[in-house]
Amino acid sequence: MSQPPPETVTKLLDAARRGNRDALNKLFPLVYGELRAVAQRQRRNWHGDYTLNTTALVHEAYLKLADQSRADWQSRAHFFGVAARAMRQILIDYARRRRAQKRGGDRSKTTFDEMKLGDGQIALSDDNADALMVLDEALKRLEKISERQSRIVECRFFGGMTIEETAEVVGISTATVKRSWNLAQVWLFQEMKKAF
Amino acid sequence: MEAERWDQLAVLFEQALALPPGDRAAFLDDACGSDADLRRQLDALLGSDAAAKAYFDNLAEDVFAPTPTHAEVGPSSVHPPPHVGHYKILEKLGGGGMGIVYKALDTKLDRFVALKFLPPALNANEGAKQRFVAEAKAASALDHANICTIHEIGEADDGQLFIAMAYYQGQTLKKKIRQGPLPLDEALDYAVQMARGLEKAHSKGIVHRDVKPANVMITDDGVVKILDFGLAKMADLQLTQTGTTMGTVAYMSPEQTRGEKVDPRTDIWSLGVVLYEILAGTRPFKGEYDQAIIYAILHEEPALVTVLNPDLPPALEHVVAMCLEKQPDLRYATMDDLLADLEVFVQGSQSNLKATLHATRHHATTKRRRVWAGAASGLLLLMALALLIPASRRRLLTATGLGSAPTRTYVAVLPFTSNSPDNQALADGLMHSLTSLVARLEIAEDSLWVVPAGDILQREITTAQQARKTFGVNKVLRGRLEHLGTQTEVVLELEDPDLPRIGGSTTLPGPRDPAFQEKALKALADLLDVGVDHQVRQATSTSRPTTPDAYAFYLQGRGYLQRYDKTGNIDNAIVLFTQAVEEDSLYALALAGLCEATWDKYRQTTDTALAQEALQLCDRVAPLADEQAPVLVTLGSIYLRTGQHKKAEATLRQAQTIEPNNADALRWLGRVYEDLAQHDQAEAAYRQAIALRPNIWIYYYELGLMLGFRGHYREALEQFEQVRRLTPDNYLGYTSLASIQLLLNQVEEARRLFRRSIALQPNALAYRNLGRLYFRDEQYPEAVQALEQACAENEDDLVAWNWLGHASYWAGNPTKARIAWQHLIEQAEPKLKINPKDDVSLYLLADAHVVLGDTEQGSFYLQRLLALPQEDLLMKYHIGRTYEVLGQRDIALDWIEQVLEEGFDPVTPDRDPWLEMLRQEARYQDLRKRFLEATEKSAT
Repeated sequence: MSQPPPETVTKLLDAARRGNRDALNKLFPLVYGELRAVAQRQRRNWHGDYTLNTTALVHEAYLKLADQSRADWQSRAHFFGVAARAMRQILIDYARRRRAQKRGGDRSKTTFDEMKLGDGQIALSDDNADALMVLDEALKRLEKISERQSRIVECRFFGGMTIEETAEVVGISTATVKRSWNLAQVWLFQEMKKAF
Repeated sequence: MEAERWDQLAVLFEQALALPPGDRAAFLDDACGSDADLRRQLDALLGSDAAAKAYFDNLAEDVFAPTPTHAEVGPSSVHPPPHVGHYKILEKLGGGGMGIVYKALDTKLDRFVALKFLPPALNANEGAKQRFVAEAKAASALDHANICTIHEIGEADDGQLFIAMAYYQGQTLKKKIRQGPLPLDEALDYAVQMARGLEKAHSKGIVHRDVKPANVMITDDGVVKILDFGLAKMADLQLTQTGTTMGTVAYMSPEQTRGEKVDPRTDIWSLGVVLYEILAGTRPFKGEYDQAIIYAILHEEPALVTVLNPDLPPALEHVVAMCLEKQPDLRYATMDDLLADLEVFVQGSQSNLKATLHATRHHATTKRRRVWAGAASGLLLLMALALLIPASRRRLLTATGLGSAPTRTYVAVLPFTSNSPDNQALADGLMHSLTSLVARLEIAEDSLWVVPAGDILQREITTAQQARKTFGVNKVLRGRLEHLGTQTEVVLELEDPDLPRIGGSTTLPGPRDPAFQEKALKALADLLDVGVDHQVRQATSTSRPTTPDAYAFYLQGRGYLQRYDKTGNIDNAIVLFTQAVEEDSLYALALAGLCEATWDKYRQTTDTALAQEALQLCDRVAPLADEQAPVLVTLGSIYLRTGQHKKAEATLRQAQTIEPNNADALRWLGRVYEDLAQHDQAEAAYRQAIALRPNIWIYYYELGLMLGFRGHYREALEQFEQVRRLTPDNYLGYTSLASIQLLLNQVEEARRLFRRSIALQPNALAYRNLGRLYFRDEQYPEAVQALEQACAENEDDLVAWNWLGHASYWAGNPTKARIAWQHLIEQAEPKLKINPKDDVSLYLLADAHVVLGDTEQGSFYLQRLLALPQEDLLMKYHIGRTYEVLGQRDIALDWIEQVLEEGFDPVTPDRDPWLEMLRQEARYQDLRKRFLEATEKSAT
């Protein structure tokens, strides 16, 4: 993945701040790519356990992509919002491939070819891969009810963000984030139970 | 479902969750009305709240802090070879912080095994490797049904270390609790088995160090197998080498998080955390990130497990609490002790508890530090509780009704009488002083509480029955001052409100006796049947003045100050305290009294010179007050009210260190934190004060105010309901309930409560709010009338003056409005000199200047106000309104949007006459749709 020049990202963030949705869409693949790259780099650097520390990933990607001299908190918030969505995509893509592989039926291959999947940064158990797929489906239904709501879940769950960060990204009060997040978990949990 | 519907659901869900489960149905009946669909949804959602949270916490942890991938298994190969020695690798089972696990076939013995490969970091370090092998060997020697059997420690051809262990068909406890708490029987069964396994290890000198659900395997037959003994020690090594964390810190003991040396008691803690989690369905110490969790582990008390899961036997709370003592010394001393208590429950929950109790009683004499859990009553239990549960915990238990109430003595010291009417002040002072002495005894004696003297006088309590009814006391102390010629005697009598006779009496020499305080302390201790701690005795001697006269003057000063609302009493107090200080210039208590009286005088006269004087006195007392908590509390409260938060915090903390049970120190600390916008700490302080003195209304009141300011109306209501319950004739309870009802748009209920409050005692606060209510409903002349009454009731209520200005203006009387605002400005400016951070005064000055047309002055005060943290929703709304009057509509809309988001009443902006133009804006219309129409819809 070649790295985009910082101007591109900064420009897109500026546009996003002015409400240009298209800019957010253009930002997405850049962030997605960078997150994967960062994830892989981190894995190589560490000797010990690999931990998918989302927060660290997103911060590193941000430092890398955005022009720090011009970065303000609003563009940072936009970036984080996009990054949370990208994390969701990365995980779901991976879970999907893992499931497809499993359906292929070659058991030993599933066990030992994990490295080739999704660039190998993510070790998901079958159970968790299934859970993520079902969560994604439920989240899509939630998105239809309230887009804001699903963004909160993206930030909190996939982006690993705090209540405060989420409030900043979505542009609402922390009280609303907290309240919505509480309800969303229960709602999603019940939706997911139907699927299992 | 629509987005608005969702928001509505979210609000109701939050409000319902905040209520005790028993109160939810009534709340939902009320909130949902005829909307059966809404009700059904809420019922379904509320049922699985805990399970959902646990599910997502676990999923997030699994996905984001997951197993190592194969690449980490061996340094040289991507995955292990299909054969390792005589083991044939079959499939991956999972992995954790300490390596990855495969299912394998032992081709020699033809059985399945689990092979665990260790992290490569370990392989690189020869010393570590050897230590690891030694540790693993020790663990492998453990032979117990609840410990995973280790077959072999081996080395693969490439030098990679592995452990071969028994393979069990089953699942980890972690997976088992994904869906929420376990049934009691099952949870206890696992806990007992874990304790047995760990006990065995401890007896061999092995500490597990990483007890957590992921390390506990439950076989399909329900047998617990504890995994990974001793491995955590190696993980620490790895931790320091690579800087990566090894997974969750949630189960670590306080000493572990601090990196200190640990002993078997760390496993007791961790088992306690696991027990809590499997019983409650949620972990005791939570946080957004590791540091937050560690903070919680070190400093916070977890929610009571029996509150989270009301089906549990209350006594189980003690067992969990004994495991989760922050200090290892206070925990169960051995796993065996914990095991014995757990077993009582297992048997108790199965059949008859009485028989078990007998068996336990037999044990009792031989075992130290034991809680007879499961026993519901009996002397033995009382003794055990008193002995074994540390002070803070015991307070918590009794406060919430979980402990056994009769162990404590709750005493009221009634006003002293005197056979000479000239000596009323001395009698009042004695009452105060003896109350303080009882409070001092209380420090060492957790089972003893005393009602503050001020509360007794304020509520005009004179009989034992009144005291019992009002404060729930079970002992009453009366005092009589008897003058016989030149001699004075103090007669003390102890009374039980439920018994007709006197429980004991004693006679003391008069207060001019040089050793009066020591003698009084001893007499009180004897009457109340408690011991006198060495420290307490020392503190009493330290606080004694050099001359008996100084003490007598001090007592009288105190007596006058107790009844500060009577004309002339503050002045008398100042005179007498001054005399006391003249006798002994280093008499800290008298100086503090002088300081307090001077401050009260300032409040009465608003003469700022007096405030300065009080502050100077504070600084003079501070160095003398080292060990005297009550003095420090007085100082702290004055520092706070003059905006010196740092000083206030330091002083109050010092007081709290000396007397950890001093609820007033906590109350003022709460106020300090509130001003500093450290809400969690403020709330914790208030709640701790409530736990210490659950019968005193003021702490609930403070907590309620804070919650109300922050928009947590339902929670605030709960607190004010407590105020009303504890003091049914206290107008503040009604006024505050009414204010919240008003914010919740329950206008008629609010009106009713305000009137009730006024009927109890005409008060500015209720009149003022009643005026605000009329104003909101556009009844301006009625508003003016109520506000005039408010100003008459309390000329110092500048908020009322401001409202009087607004109401007069819109009632068509701009001249009257101008007079009100100018009066306000004259009064508020000097206040600001005393406390530059007084946000109310800042706001009032900003608003008054702006409406009077002085935008420059108005903006100046507004900027100063905005430099402080803003929490009060009503204040924030008014800031928005002031911006509108200033002509900055966008900013006004920002504020209004923010407060609506945070739950502010949407009717108020919709009717505020100042906002008429603003309401034409499309942005306001959107807000109206989002908030007002949504509530209207839900109301119909």
